[in-house]
Amino acid sequence: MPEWVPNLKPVVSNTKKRTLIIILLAVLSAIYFLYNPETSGFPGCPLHALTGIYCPGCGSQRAFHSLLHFDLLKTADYNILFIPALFVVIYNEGIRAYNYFGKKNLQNYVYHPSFPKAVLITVIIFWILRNIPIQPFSWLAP
Amino acid sequence: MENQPKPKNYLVESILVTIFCCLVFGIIGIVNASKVNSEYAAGNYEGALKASQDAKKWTMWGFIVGAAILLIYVILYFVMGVAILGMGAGMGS
Repeated sequence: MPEWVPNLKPVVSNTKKRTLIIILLAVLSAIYFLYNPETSGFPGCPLHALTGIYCPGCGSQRAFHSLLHFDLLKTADYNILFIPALFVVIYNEGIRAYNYFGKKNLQNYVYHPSFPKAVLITVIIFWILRNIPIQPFSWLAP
Repeated sequence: MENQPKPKNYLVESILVTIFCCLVFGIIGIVNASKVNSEYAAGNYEGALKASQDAKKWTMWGFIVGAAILLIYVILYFVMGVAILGMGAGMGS
């Protein structure tokens, strides 16, 4: 067995989890499709409210709203890490489903020794850069 | 060691917590996810398992805190009406 395959069952193979996630995703998508977090009084980031600092997650509600309206430019504008994060989620679940249902042993790079380190470094650099109030860094702010 | 399965690293869950909710919980989750992979690669199964359990704990708390904030907000929304919420509009995430 290759080293990076933890052979975990995909979430979709668990009927209970699958139902729960589908319901949750449907409800959240409906809410974020219908309401614009910018104008509807959704809860803002407490860190930003208290300190004025943008955290790496700031803008993700608006990014989600934009994504549901297929506006990828706006999605990236609110939180550029939102798109790669989505890819990681889909990739991880995809590989697990492929290995489980297809009885394969494909490597999952989420389990590569360096991958979480790369994620951590990316998040921290993004956090610092988006708080620098001059262009081009300010483009990373939500 | 060869036959020990690699423990779940909770990296994806940590990323979701970082982006949607609680920075601190998410970051600690990512650090532990990193530890799962590196300890396992170094042959320390016990260490990898411990890091996996820590990662699970932190991401779980991230989800719980996120859900709690959401719940409080929904309750406020219905109890106090929309007026007070105008303050929250346009802020942060």
